[in-house]
Amino acid sequence: MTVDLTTPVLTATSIRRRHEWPFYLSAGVLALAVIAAVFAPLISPYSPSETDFSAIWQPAGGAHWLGTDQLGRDLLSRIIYGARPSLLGAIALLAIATVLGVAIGITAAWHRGWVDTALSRVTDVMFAFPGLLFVVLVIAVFDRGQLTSVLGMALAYAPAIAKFTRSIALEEITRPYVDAYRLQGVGGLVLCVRYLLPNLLPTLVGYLVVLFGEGLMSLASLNFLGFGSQPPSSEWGLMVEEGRTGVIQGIVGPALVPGLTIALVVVATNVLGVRLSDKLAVRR
Amino acid sequence: MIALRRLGAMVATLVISSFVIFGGMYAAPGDPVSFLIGNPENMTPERIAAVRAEYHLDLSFISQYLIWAKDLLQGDFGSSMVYQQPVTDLLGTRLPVTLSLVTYAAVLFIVIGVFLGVLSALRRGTAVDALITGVTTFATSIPNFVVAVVLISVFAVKLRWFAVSGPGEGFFGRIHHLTLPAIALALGAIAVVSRVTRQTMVEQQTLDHVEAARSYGLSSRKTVLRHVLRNSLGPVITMCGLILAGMLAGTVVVESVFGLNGIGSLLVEAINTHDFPVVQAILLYMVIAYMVVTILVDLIYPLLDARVLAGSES
Amino acid sequence: MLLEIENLVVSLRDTQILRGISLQVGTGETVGLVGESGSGKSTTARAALRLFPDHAQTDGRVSVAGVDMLSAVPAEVRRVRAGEAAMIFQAPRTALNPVRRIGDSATERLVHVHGVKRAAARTKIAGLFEEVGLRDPERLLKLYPHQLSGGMLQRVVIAAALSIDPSLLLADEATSALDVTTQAEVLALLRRLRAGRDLGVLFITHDLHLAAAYCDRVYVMKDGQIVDHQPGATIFEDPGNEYTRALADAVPKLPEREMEVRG
Repeated sequence: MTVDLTTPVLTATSIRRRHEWPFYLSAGVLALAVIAAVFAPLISPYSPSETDFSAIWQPAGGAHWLGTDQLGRDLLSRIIYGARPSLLGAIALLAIATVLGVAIGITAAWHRGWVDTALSRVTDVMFAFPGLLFVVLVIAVFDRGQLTSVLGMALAYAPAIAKFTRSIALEEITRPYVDAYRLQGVGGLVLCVRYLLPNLLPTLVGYLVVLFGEGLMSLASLNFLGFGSQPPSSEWGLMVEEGRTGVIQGIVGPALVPGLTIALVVVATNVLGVRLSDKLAVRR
Repeated sequence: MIALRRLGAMVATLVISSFVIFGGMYAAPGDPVSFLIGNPENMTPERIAAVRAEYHLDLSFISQYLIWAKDLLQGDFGSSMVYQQPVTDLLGTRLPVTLSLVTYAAVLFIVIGVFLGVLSALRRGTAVDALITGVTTFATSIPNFVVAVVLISVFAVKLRWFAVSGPGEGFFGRIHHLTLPAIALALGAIAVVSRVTRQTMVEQQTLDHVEAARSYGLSSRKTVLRHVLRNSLGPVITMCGLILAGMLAGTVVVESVFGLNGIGSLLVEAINTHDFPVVQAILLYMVIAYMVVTILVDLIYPLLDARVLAGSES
Repeated sequence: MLLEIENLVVSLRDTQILRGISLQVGTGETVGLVGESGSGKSTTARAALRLFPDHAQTDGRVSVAGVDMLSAVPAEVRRVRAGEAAMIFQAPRTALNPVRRIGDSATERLVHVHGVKRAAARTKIAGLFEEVGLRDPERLLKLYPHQLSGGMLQRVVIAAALSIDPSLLLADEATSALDVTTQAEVLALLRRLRAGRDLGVLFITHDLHLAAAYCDRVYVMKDGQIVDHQPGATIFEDPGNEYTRALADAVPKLPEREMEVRG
């Protein structure tokens, strides 16, 4: 599981010559994933739930470009259809966690004093819970499913985002324009939302993109354990779990193909995230 | 004193966490009794009465919490709804496997992680550095369950070097069986530790006392050991501590994939069978374990860098 | 000649840091090297120990006690660093390893470069601590750098530098980070030590008045070149060129009377 969620994205400052191809390649990978998610019915060769017991555990090639699983379902189609729950889950997770985290972070940074202390204590408590625990509690109480797993994970990631937002907000608030607006009588809420937040976005975006990758992995882990998306969904983590039965008998495709897909997408988001941070940092 | 404040914060966190864990019972939809019993088939009047009595459900929320907490402090973590055994017994049988696994993984990630970090720092800018950095970045992008499945398919199924599942018998059998799981668990950590070590060492190398040491003829080897590495220990060990603390809670996936009967798989089982007391106990254990490790790290840090004690000295 | 630099050229990538520096320091002399920041004076001092920035290209001759540092084998270079010349840095707090005790850092030269037994090294350092004016040396050995003041730390550094009986001291802005009173004390200490041990001192500073008052001869540097070279006593009366005059004028003028005191 992820370890330290508050580390600001490490930038590759010592590299002199910039190779741009990782950036474009990653953008390409992510674009493919998004296209798969949005246009699944149009580009998928088969239906993801179409079984064919005469062609179980087929290797890649021929009619099935990536092979089939233990029920004869085409892996490529399942991967394509699986992009939707996989990506949507991570996006939802990030969206909820960000809204919560940013709200708490900015509130703490803006009001300071006892509000800050109280909120910081609460986030510290949530921090003391290793991320997984929160989710486990939520799932144990509210039962499994995509909704509960996403909500639980969002609660687990929110403190980290809150901490990060708070620290960058504290620094941003010291800039002159904040005082200028304050003197003009602009209210706290308006100031924070209309003027402060947009200036925090560049730094935040790089961080969030990397967090997206981590969230994707965490959700996939939950789904792998059966606590999130349920069959017949072809969410990628779930696909790995279903492919396990074949591994013991030497058929690794159904388990490895979705696993590597996850890895590829996460690598792409990491590369993108680091490059974005670099470019946005330079602009400042 | 700073130590007392930290301790106070820890205790407060523990209390609040226990409150939240305890309260989960009430957050569930439906009433606590049916939630606890789970399986509607078991909801006989006798069962209901027994559960109500055992959990003092007729008392107020606070009273229930206090009784629960008191029991905890005396080592009574309640009984499993499914096994009808004290939870502490269950934990007792499962804990050794998890601890062995985490210890093994810890040895791996600390030794290999620091080694790779030192290597890439000393060979900064060369192909070795680029290779290590590239591999470690990739390693952090692979979820550990994928790593686990890959390891099984390559080393257990195809090459038959290792068993596919099970914790193994005897000391050497245990080590043999736990190797693949430990690697799966440690891989991400190796990458993080390697990166942090490299970063810290590169930063330390720019400091004046390193140049000063070279200026009076101290050999490269000794300069690196006595000035760069020694000064990097603080942040590196702190990171290792944090990782270890998180790892104690993160064995769930690896245990499931490798069929290990540790705390992690017990947790999965308990969730699947709606055995809430067991879930509660495991969550508590995880919070406590996390805190113990972080306290230990806090205690060790001043031994590595005396400056943190500066508040109490002249 | 203790230190002889002849036409030293140092360049890094496309910039020339030093463009042909020549200077000399003899035994028993205190020679000043004055310049603004960026003039290259620190680079010059470090050249005596062959401490150049990574990837720098060098040309010329740098001779310390007869050894040409630029062409010598690594073992010779280490020998000079370990026994002939010692550098004292500007900020004593950062020049000492913050996580090690004073005793550990101060005896590092003796124990880890010269192989002296730890007990013997500690005794020698304790003696040197007393010589540089530090009271209660035994207690100091057990403390950490952050527990001492800047002035005391600089004395520790000087004592450690002396522990290997060098013949050349390179003081790179050694007093610039100290308050005025401490600065005067350390300067007096250095003068006393130089006389008592027959050292040669290269004294680097940005303060021309200080150099003029303290040093026997003064070199003035600008943009990697030596632009003036005069005895300290005369450099104000007859500045060799425009730049020296500008440096002298940059500081509020001292009344005539005070200039005579330093005779």
